[in-house]
This record gives sequence, C-alpha cells and structure tokens, in this order.
Amino acid sequence: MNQFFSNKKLIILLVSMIVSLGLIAFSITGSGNIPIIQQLTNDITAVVSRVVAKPTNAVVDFLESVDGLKNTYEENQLLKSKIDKLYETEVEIADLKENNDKLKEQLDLTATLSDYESINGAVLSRNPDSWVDQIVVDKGSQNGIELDMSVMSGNGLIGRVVEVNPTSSKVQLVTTLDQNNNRVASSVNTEEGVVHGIINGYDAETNRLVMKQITTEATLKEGDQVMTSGLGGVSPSALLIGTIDEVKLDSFGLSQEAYIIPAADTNDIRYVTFIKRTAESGE
Amino acid sequence: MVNWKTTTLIPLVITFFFLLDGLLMAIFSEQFLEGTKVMTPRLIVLVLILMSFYIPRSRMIVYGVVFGLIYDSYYVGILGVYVLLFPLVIYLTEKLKKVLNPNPIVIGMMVIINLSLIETYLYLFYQLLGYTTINGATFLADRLGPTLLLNLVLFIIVFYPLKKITERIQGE
Repeated sequence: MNQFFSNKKLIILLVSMIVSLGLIAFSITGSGNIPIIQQLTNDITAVVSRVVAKPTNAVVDFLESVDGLKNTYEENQLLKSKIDKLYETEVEIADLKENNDKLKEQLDLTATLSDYESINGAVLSRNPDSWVDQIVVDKGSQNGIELDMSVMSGNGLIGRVVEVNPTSSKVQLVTTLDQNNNRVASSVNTEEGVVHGIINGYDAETNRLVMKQITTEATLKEGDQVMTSGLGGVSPSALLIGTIDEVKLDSFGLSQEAYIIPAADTNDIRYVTFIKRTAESGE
Repeated sequence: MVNWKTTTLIPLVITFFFLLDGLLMAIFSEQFLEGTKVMTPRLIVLVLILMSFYIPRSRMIVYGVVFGLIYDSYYVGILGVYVLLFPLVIYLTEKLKKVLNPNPIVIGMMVIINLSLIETYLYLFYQLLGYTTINGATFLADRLGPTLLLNLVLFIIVFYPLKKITERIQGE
C-alpha cells in the first residue's frame, strides 16, 4: 500500500486518465449544448483564426480568379448557347410563382416546407484529423444560426450544424465517418410520383452518398435528381443533394439503395450557406 | 529564467501553428483527403516536440494541457482526447531527449514515434466509440502511412525556421 502511494507517476497517470475519461463522457452525452466556458474558448479561437484565415482566403480567391480567367472564352461560348433558354425559363418561373402565391392565398397557407431564409458564412478551419469531418464557420447564434440547420455549399447540401457558439459554429459534413447521427430525409421526383429515402452513408472510395430504405416498387433511373424532402423536421424541402449514379438492392434484399453523386464538392468548401426553415417543425 | 519574451511569444507561435493545421486542412482538403486515404497535418505536434528540446518540462506540460483542451474544444467538440495526448507526447520527448542528442534526424524519428502513438490512440478511441469500423490494416495503409509521410515533409519545411525562432526567443 505504501509502495503504491509513493509511486507518484502512476497516480498522476491514473488521475489524468480518469479526468480524461470523465471529460469524454461529459462531452459525448451533452449533445450540442455546450457550457459557456467552452463556447467562449471556441469563439476566442475563432476570432484569432480569422486573422489567419482572412488573408489566406484572399490569396486563394485571387489565385482562383486568375485560374478562372484562363478558360473564360470557352465558358462564355457555352453560356451564350444556354442563355436563350434561360430567359424562357425565367418567364415561366415568374408565372408559376405568381400562380403559386395566389393559390396559397386561397388555401390560407402561410408557410410551406419549401420556404427558407439563408445566411452566408465563410469557413475558418476544418478538423485536421478527419475522424469527425467538421468545419468551423464564422457565423453563430448572434447571426441567427441554430442547431441542426442544413448547410449548403455551391449548389448542394453538405451537412448540418452540430454546435453553435455566439459568433462561430461547427458544421458536420455528410461525408463524416460516423453515420449514426447523420441522416437526411430525401426524396426523388420520378414520373410515377415521389420516392422517399434516407441519406445515411458515404462511400469514400467512389465519393458517393448512399440513399437507403427506398421501396423496391420504385423505379429510379440514373441521372434522377435527389432532394431533401423536408420530412425530417429540420431541413426545408427541395434542397438539391445530388444525382443518382447507381441503384441496387441492399444486402438484405428488402429495399433498394441508390448511390448518389453529390452536387456539392465536400473537398472544396470555403463559403457556405445556412438554410433556416421558416415552417415550424411541429414538435 | 522566465522573461516576457518566452511567456508571450512561445504561446503565440504555438497558436499560429495550431490554427495553421485547420486552415491547411480547409484549403488543401482535396489533396489531403483523396478517396479513402486521409492525410492529417499535425504541425502543432511538430512544434510541441521541437520546443520540448529547449523549454523546461513543467512549462511545456502546461502548454500541452492548454492547447490540448483548445484543440478538443475548437476542432472536435469531444473534450479529453488531445488534452491527454499532448502532455504525453511532451513527456515522452523529454524522457528521450536525455539519451539522444537533438539533431534533425533524431527529432524526425521522435516525430514519427509520437505521431504513430497519437494516430493509433485516436484510431482505437474512435473505434471504441463506434465512430468508425475500418480494420487495423486499412488504418495503417489509409491513415497512418499518408499522415506520417505528410508530416515528415512538413517537418522538413518547418524545422529550421522553427528552430531559429525558438532559439531566438529563448535567447540562446
């Protein structure tokens, strides 16, 4: 007994192990709601991080614009051919919108699932060890960010908010390894109707998302567009996720799985858009 | 001898490299995350190891704990992982530095040993939590190998500037 207690190193090691395990248990169970001290630490780090990130972002932006300048001519030719079609679509959309508003008024619909407001933010840093694939963004609860908001980059869904501090927030990407708490209610519009499924899984080798629990009766085609369905309770509907690449039966043969090429490039995120759903979740 | 230079400038240098890790990952994620291969920049560990050769252990352990906590809180959100790893790395380096002389190759070896330790601990930890299901062989090929490679390159780049900075601050 005496021998044991005189061994100072062992005690220090044991105590630090216990403290570490205690901290781990504390932070895993307290999903999303973190103590004020931790919020402050994160915010201060984020503020300092801006000093490093802003100049770097400026340099990268400049390099990208130089890069963009090179293929301006080809792009211009391509866009010219598309622009005529765009005018037609614009007029059509305006007409449809007006019709839609009128019909909504008649039905007394104030908010539908597809209504949302967006907040823009810049990426400050990304978790270096990508066991948990997360990015830190320079917008927080003061800018109206809330837990579980959907986040888009470019033109596709990339993840959801998992932690909110006053002036910064953490976004967990859909490509993260931990798929236990990463589910997106999604749907595909086909000729026969809407097919529902859940995005839950990421195939890193081919860089494709996996949409699961699709009924075997549905016939999905390659190239069909996958959107959020808004039925999960947090995200609005009609946010683009990607296009279907491959459809097959799951390992049990009970439902179908669709492999989706994401619309957003999760490896090139520097600016993100938070999506705030205006419809209440009804919880 | 503790003067204002060591107490303010050393944490500043560590903070800079700490933030650089996250920034590098954000900008070069296309290169660092290729398919299933994952490269992790660990400049903070390189800095901590190198500084352990110049700064007394008691202070380095404090830096290790503080920056471990910030790392956990800012990047991952799970407290208690790096807060244990960083002091452990510093302690190991301190023990080994008494029998080895600090030339670049020896420090490079220490980096390899310590990084392997960190990555393996993290792998076991996340597997225990159920975050990942990859097996040991995949971990070695996809995570540990590329990470060691990247950090050796980073080590070669930052070694001399960092050594000079530390020596200048310590006033040797």
